[in-house]
Amino acid sequence: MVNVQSEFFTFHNQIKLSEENQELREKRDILLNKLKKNISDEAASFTSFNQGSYAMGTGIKPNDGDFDIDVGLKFDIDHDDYPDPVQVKQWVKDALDGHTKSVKIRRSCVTVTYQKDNDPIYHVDFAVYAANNADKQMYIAKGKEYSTDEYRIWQLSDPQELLNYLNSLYDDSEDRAQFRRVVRYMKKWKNQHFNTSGNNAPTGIALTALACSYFMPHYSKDFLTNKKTYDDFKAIKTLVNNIQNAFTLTWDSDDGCFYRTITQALPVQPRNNLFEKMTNKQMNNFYDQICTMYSKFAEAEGKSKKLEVCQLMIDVFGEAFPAAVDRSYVGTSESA
Amino acid sequence: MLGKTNFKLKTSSMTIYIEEKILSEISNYQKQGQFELEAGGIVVGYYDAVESALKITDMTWPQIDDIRGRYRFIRKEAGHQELMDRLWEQSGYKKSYLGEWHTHNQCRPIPSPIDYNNWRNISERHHNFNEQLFIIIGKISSGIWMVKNRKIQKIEEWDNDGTIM
Repeated sequence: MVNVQSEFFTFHNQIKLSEENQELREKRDILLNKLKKNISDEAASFTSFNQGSYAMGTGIKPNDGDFDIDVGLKFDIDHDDYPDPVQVKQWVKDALDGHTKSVKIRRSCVTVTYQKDNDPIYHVDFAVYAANNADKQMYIAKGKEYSTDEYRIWQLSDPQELLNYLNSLYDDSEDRAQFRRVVRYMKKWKNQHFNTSGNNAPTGIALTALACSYFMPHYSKDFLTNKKTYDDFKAIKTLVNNIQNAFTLTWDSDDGCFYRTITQALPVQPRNNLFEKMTNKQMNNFYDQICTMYSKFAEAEGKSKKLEVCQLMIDVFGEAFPAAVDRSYVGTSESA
Repeated sequence: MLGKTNFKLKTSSMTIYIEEKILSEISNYQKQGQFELEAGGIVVGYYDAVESALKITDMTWPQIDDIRGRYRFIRKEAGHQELMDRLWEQSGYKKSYLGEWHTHNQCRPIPSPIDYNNWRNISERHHNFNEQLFIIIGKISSGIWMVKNRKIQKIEEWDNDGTIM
């Protein structure tokens, strides 16, 4: 097998969206400033923090420049004093209404769409938390403007918990870095091979949770220096093989056939099944795509030229993966 | 006429682009270069995944150790290998040796038996690509040949203002 680790590093640098990303920070700060300036005097004070894939270090650049930014807002309130969580979300909505392209209260967040001049549109999802509770826990505001009372709830949720969980999985920060790289590769693969409308594609968090369950760090260790040399190809190949084996056959009585289906719980509270919104048929398509990816990896192992391996990786991950070649030996030539 | 665009060639197995820069270098050589002594060098390019095509982007010129005769050109390793290595590194390890070019002191280039043997021998070495490309620059027109598994196939011939012949 040809070693393509440096090509994986190049690929990772191409696709990663890190917390330090300037463009992202600017976009987030424009909206945070608008929020601070326009929020009503009746609203409680708040602080903001990054959450989602950016905070976890598993974000990738969007295919079409349509950034999705996750920001958490910690309001200095006790949720018991605000029986209606939508009221608190309304503070955010009212502050930004009219200053942005659109503001919508969605079930788990307030989604703001923003566009300045001819910049591409971007979305910021504000998750609203009650952070000053008697039990010292954090609660997220759930519910929409016209939801009935049973859907307006404060749900126990610690946005830091998934990050803490991730950090607890592997002691070595280099192992965690490989975990993050592999999650990014999986997300890029998803963007390449799925129609992302509706629930066709597994979500980013579902892929992250699958990696929590099935990823193992892969490296070789120099026993003299104790230095680890990471092998991302082996790591993702093993992960994909494990995911493939996690599917089970399920009879679908509506379609009258068996489908390969999968469940994966969020590893922290509320431990919900992250595939519950996908139909059996959609999960079966996910399975087929996983099998195709695995077969490309298996094929790559039999190749002796770097470019041939890279071409297979381009099939899987798209053109952000470099079409690298081995060093050329030019030899001599005699013409007449 | 080729104009400012790249030169696109289709073979049964792949698409090949010759960059504008290379075409004008060839055409300039035809107008100003000398043909009394043969010249040559290596042909360099990369695989473009977006277009699924081989792109010819660079060629090297005769180096000091090369032997230039009236009816022969012997390209040595020295100089060309260093240039190849630099192109490889500067391109993020994408550029590769693709083949050879040399001149003929004739209007339309016709490969000699020595050329054919040379191309077959080169194609048996270990390369990044299964196909090797060979260009002969004549005084009026130039030709490009592809060699794969010792089989030689002429791809195209064009004259110095870019008309395909």
